[in-house]
Amino acid sequence: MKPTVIFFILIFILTSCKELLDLETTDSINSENAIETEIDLQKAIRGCYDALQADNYYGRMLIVANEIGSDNAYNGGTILEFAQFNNNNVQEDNLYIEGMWFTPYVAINRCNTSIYYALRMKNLTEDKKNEYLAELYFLRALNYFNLSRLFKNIPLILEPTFSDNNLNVGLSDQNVIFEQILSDLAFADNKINNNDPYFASDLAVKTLLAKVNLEIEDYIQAIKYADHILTSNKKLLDKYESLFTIPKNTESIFELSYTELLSDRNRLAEYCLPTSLGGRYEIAPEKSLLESFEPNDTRKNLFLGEIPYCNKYSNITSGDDNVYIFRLAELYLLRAEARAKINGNLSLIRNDINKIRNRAGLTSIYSNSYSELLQIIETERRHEFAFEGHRRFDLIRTDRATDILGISENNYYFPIPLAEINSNSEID
Amino acid sequence: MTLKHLTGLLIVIFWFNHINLYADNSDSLSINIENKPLKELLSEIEKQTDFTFVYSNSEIDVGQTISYNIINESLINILNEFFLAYNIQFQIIEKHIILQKPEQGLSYQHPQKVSGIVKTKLDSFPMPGVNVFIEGTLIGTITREDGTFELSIPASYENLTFSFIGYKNEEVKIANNKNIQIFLSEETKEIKEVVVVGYGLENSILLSSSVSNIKSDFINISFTPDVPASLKGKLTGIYINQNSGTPGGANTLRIRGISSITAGADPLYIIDGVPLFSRDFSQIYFNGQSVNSLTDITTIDIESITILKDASATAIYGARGSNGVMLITTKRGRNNSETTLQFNSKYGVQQVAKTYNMLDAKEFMQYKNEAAINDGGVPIYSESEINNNNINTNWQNNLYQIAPIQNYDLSFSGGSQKTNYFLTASYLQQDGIVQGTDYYRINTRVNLDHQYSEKLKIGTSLAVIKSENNRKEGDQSLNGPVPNAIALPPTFPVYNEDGTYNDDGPLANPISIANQHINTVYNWRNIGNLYTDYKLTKNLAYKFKVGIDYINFREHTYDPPTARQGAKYNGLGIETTSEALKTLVSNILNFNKSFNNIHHINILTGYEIEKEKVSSTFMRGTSFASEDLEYLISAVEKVSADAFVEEFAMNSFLGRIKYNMKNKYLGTINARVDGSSKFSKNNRYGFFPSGDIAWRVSEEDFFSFNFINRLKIRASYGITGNDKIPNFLYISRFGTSEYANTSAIYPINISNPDLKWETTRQMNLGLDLSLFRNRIQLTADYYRKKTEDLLLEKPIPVSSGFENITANIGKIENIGFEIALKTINIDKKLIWESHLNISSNQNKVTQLHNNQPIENIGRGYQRIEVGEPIGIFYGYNSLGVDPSTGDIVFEDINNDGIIDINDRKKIGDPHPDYYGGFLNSLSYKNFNLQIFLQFSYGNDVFNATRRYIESMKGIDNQTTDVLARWQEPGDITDIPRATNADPNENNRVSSRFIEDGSYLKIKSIKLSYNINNKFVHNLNLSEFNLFIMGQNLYTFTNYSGMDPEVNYAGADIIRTGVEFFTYPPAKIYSAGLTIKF
Repeated sequence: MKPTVIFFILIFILTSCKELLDLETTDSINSENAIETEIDLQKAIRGCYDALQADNYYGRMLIVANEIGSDNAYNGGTILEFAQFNNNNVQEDNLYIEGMWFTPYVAINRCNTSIYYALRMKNLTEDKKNEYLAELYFLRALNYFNLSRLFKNIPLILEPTFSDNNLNVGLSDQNVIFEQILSDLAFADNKINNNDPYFASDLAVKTLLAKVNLEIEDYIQAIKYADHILTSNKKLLDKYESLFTIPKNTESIFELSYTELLSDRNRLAEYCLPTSLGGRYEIAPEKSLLESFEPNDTRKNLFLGEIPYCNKYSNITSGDDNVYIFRLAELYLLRAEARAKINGNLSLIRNDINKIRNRAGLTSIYSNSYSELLQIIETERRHEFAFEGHRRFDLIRTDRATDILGISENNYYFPIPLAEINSNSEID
Repeated sequence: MTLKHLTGLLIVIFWFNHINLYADNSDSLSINIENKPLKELLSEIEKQTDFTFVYSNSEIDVGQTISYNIINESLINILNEFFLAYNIQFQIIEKHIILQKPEQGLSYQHPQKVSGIVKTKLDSFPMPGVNVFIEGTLIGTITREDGTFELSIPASYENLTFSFIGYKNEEVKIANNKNIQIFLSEETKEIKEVVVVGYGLENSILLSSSVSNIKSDFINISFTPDVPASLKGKLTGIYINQNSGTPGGANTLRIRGISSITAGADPLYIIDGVPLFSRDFSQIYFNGQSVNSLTDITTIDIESITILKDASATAIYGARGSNGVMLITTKRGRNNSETTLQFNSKYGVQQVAKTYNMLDAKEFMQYKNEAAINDGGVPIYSESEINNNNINTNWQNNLYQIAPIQNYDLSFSGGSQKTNYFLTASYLQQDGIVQGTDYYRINTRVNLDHQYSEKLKIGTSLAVIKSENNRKEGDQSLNGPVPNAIALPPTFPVYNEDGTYNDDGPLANPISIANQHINTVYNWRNIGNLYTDYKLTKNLAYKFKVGIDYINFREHTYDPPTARQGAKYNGLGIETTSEALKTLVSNILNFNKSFNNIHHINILTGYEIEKEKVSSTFMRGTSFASEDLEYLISAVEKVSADAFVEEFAMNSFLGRIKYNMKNKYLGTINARVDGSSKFSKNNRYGFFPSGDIAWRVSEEDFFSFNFINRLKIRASYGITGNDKIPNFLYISRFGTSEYANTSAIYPINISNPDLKWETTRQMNLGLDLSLFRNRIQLTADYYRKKTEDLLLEKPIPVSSGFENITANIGKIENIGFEIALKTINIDKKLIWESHLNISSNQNKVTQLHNNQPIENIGRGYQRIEVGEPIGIFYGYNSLGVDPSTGDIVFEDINNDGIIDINDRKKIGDPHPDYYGGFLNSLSYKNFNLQIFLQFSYGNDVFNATRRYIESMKGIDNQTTDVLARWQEPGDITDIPRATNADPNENNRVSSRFIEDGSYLKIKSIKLSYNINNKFVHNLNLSEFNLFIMGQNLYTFTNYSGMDPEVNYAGADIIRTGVEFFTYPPAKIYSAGLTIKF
């Protein structure tokens, strides 16, 4: 009798435990249900901004590659791989190269994913849909712009990754990438209504258009977009130092927001400040940079200490220094450079340059030589945007990297990381 | 699928109970005779069976009048009951029952029912399969799995005999004992033989699978209340590495190599049938200073530990058996014994075993000047600065201290007839050799068993553990005391003139950190179970067990603004908690049957459910109101507050059939079906079968080598699994984040609904040999383990936005052998015993996705590639220093004239070729001397510390090795020139930093004395033992770092054998005593 009783008890246990193994996720959302409403789409778009914050992207490496990888800075801390950037000898297996390749593609995939869901979303007006798409195309274009300036020829991917099929995409030439960038920006132009510099705006779209056109040497277009921005309500700040103490100021066009939340902060202050202030001093300014400033240049005041360090990112405790993606000053120098390249109006060129110089407490220049003016523009760019991730890109764009940095054209762009080469059958 | 199988199994068992294979069960007789001659009874029996009686009329009076009434009873029981009551002896030969002369006059006496339990004398382990019989008769039985027996004996018989191979026979007067306890002692001097195996006990003579077993006195030889440390070098097949000298730090344990790359390589730990958590719940990342589940367990209450190694032993644990299983059994009391009390105490001092020789202030300044000049600059320090400098800090000496370690424990054990108990409490306090670190742990335990009735036994094992660990940040930060004490230049003082800590140096002052950084782990743990054992029938028992492992883990850290790390944040505090509960409900049916005393069968089936839930919180705050307030309530900025939950569930069906013929031919079949919540419905259940056979050759009649006491050969094969991957990988998910104070979501992964278990197939051949009256005992095993469907991140083109997808790709194999040799060299007044363990394991990765290697892992830049062991060192090959330039020449492997990443190759392998231990124990009169050595051969170590302290660049102080650096053309040396810029990258990852880590350690030398005089007897002490001991006394090695057993990444699977400013181990000198009442 007893054995039969147990038999049935056991069967009872068995049948009642089917749900035992069906557990629910507690900290993430099943992707089947993730983007269903407009609010979901907005959150997904913000995920694209979140991707820009990565340490290996705007949060550190764009600056490391451009500053340590140029004559502005050297590797002053304990990270051994940064020496390769300093020596212009970055190897394919450098971990940071992998990060610099990966993080923009993460951002691109988030953009592609959001575009996919936006196109299919019901209950969304055509206007609203286009505005969201404009924002996403702009962000995607920004990511491709950065990637191509770093690596030159890269895979062009316009569809989201939902499975591991068909992921082996070969390299596209840089001009193909730029075509896509311009096409994305053409759509985005004049569609975004927002004015908050933490997010994409029409001025941001136009700034990127100006920069891209400068890069591909379409100077007329570059000037056209710069004109538009320089006649908007954006204004240069009176004091240069205020750029780094006042967030969302009148000069800021597109600024990446960081907060003190552990998952939302950056380590730039930690990487720039010396060890005596609790930092790591990884990105250390070259003596030559500081010596190149003219005596009264207020921009030099952002470099402090007997052993100088950059103080643009100083919130080491909270890690919430914002990072400029675009600010107004750049457009002045961009327009001046474009005009100088087409032998444009000398006084207009000088005006733009002197706006920047005067703001920095320097006297105006009076040169009449285009080549001299281009030289001055190059120096002003260096001083205006030191430690903001511009120098190396600028020297390569103007074909001056060989003269200034001593690198050959083969070394202008970073090698495609080993991780991609090993896993992508279309790239070797 | 599951229901059908279980039903089938159950049917088989219940049917088995009624199977006819033996005469005593075959016939069901009914007799009803009133006052008739005995002859009629005989005829009746002959009629109802096909037996015939044979007897002599002169001996047996078949005319006498008897009455006998019985219904549906078996023949043998009738023969027992009736004939023996009349003192008529009978013998069954084929189909004849032969009756013999009765001893006394015919009179009916009721037979006695005797029952009891048979245990081993030395450790009270129940003994299954023991013969219980009356000498010269057929009356007898065999003890069950739990050692119990019942027998019906005629009243006239006085003596009962107990016998079992390997043990001395015991003859016992029955008297009036209804419930006897018998203790059998071994025939010859050897290690105890009853071994705990998966879901049961086994006599080691009859073991047919590959296990290593160790009993409590061997565990406690070095008196380390730390389980991994007390097992290292004593068992074959398990690789144990200390990793660092951190008090309470985690050890690495690997049974038969690494069988997984991502899904966990730790063995399954089980205490008294309850599986333990084996994770580290620290959320503040500490690398080599993390803890693991064995950290809380003390060796004091352990009776034995069995390591299950081959597929047959581990398959009963199914999906968690791939990495081997460690069964820990705690001590229990003995029935019918007086209370014994035991007190152990130990007090020792620890001293750092080895430090680095760093440059002094003058040498440091000179080297710095030289480096500056070599880079085209000017000297940093002037002549007068160098000569007049009076600051010369030896930071390491300032940081390390002589630290005490103490352990006290007290235990009570005893029992009445029905109940037994074992109670213990112990206290361990270990100060760290690094200032500001220490660890204490309190263990308490209650083990109770109660025989409620003949059929029902209940019991519990309950441990309550509390520990606190004061840690300091380790090697991965610029704020660790050990790294900074090694690397900080000697030109800075510890204190300023005003007594405050000097923090002018490039790294934070390590003494300041050690004394001001607060970092404490508070740990509370309950491990316990409740069980009932119910005898359904004579042969079938049901065991129900509920067990839990509960951990409450809390971390509290605070960096005041007066320390450099805290200054950065104006005070930094972190609080984390984890509450983890693992519950096991287990139902086991155990069936035992013997036939003709020749065939023994044991069948086990079971159903288990296991659930886990971990709830965690994490909080971080900065800007504290005052440096003396260390809790987050005083933090102005709360920069992080997270809470999250993880759950896991598993259900399993398990079964085993063990067959034993004549104790000579042994075989087992195991199977387990596991279902896990980690996998999608496609692959939720896994099936894991295995089997083994063994042959005790020495028991064969043809076996005539007298000097060989025992020879057993065995073979096994089977499949086990591994499921330790993160939850929910099989669905694609979006995660949450934030941007500009609004919430954001983003895709985390690409799903793989086909994810399934990693599967290991293992083959084992083994040999157990005893020679010369067991004075030489050898166990040898050879195995091959092949694991496939490794859960690996399959790299996908990174341009897709994801780096990888988790898939079952990849294969790895482990092939090796193990030898355990025990010899009793001298056995006279002086007794000398030796134990030697050697294990060897060759690991090889045999398949990866597209054979793409995975590289640059960790600070050792380790690599996984097909055809090599996991985690090899890979880099440039240094050919030495060029005497003309002072730079290192690297091998141009592809001969293309450039040195680039194509010139890298395998430069080292962190895994040892052989490892093991050698213990010698000498006893003379009351003295005993034990010398314990451990060795490892063939393991390489990547000394990543030297990449900083021998680099001659950057801010760090350098070792005195750099005094031999190249300084001018023509110098021949192996240290390159001093240069900060290092254009040749002399400092790159190369064979320059790979060293041979083979070692032989004098792990412990212990001298003890047993006091045995009137004084001791007067106090009623049964033992009074004093000892002195030295541990970690010396390491013979070519390794230049602090300890060749180092690993900065703790128990990590891939990052092994790398030193990076890791907390060094200590020498310990101690003394203590043991008192037993």
